[in-house]
Amino acid sequence: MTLERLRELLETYGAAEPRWPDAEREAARRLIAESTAARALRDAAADLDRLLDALPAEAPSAALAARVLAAAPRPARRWRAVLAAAAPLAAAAAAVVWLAIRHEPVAHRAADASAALALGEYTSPTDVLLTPYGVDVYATVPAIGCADSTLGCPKVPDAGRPYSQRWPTRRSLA
Amino acid sequence: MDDSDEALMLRAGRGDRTACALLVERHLGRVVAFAQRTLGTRSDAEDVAQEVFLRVWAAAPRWKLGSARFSTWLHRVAMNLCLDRIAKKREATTDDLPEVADPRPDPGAALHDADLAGHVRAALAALPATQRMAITLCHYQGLRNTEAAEILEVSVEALESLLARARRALRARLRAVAPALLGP
Repeated sequence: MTLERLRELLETYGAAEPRWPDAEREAARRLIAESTAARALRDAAADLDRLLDALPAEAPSAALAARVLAAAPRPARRWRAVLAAAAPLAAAAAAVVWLAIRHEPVAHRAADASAALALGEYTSPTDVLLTPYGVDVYATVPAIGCADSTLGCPKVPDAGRPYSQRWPTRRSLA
Repeated sequence: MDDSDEALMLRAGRGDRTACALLVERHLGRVVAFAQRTLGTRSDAEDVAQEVFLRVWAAAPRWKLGSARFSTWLHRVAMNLCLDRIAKKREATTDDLPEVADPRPDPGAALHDADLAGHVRAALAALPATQRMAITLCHYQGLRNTEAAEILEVSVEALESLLARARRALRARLRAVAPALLGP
C-alpha cells in the first residue's frame, strides 16, 4: 500500500481499523507500523474521529419505547383459535341437521298425498247434506217408517223442483 | 434458540412479545441516534423511530428468512423516512438544511463537551443529506462499507466518495471552532 492510498483510506473511513475495508486492513496496518508519515496521517484522522464522537447518542425515552412496544403484534387470542377449530365442525353438524329435516318431509308428503287421494274418494253423509245440489237428500231418505207421520217423515213438496222453489217463502205464505 | 434479528422478526410476526421487546431493545436506540444525527432534532428523530417500528411490526408477519439482513432493511426504512421528512421541510422552508443552531465559533475559548457537541451537530447539519447519511451510517452506526452502500443504493466507490467529501467538509468546519483539536 502506498502512502497516498493510505491517506485516501483514512480520509474516507477514519482511523478506526474496524471501519477499513477487509481487503486493505492488513496492508494499511503494516504501513502505519513502518512509516512515521503514515502514523501522522493516522493521528490526524483520529483527531477528527474524536471530534465527531463528541456528539453523543441519547438513549430513547421510556415513553417512546412504551409507545413502540404497544403497537407490536399480539398473539392470536385463544378463543379465536378455538372458534376457528370449531367452525368446520359446527358447519358439518348444521349440514347433517338440514339434510335430515329436508328428507323427512318427503316421506310425509308421500303419505299425505295418498291419504288425500283416499279422502277424495270418500263421501261422508255430511258432505251429502251440505251439498245443495246433486244428491237429493229427500230422495235418499229411507221410506221405511215414513208412512207414520209421528215419526216425522219429511213431506216432500214439489220434488224435482230446485230447492229454492220447494218451500213457501213468508211472502208467498202471507 | 436462534436469537438473531431475523429469527426475532419471524417470532414477532407470530405475536411473540418477548421477541418484539428484544428487537426494540437492540434497535430503537440505534434508529433514534441515526434519525437524530440525520434530522438534527430529537422530536423529529423520535417521530421517525416510531414510524420505523410501525413498519417493522407491519412487515414482521410477512418476514422470510434469507430475504434481507434485518439491520440493512431497518436502516433503509429509517433513511427513507428521514429523507421524506427532509424533503417536506425543504418544501415548507425552501431550506435544504435542518434547523440546527450553530454555536458561534470562538477559536480562543475552551470548548466544553456540550459546546463541542453543538458544533459537531451543526457541522453535520450543514452537509448535503446524502453525505450526512453516509457518514452517519459508517462512522456512527458502525456499518460496513458494503452494507452502507446497499442502504444508500450506491456503489462502494460512490459511498467512499461521499464519505471523503463529508469528512473534508466536517474537518474544515470544525477546524474553525476547534483548531487546537484538529491538525493542519
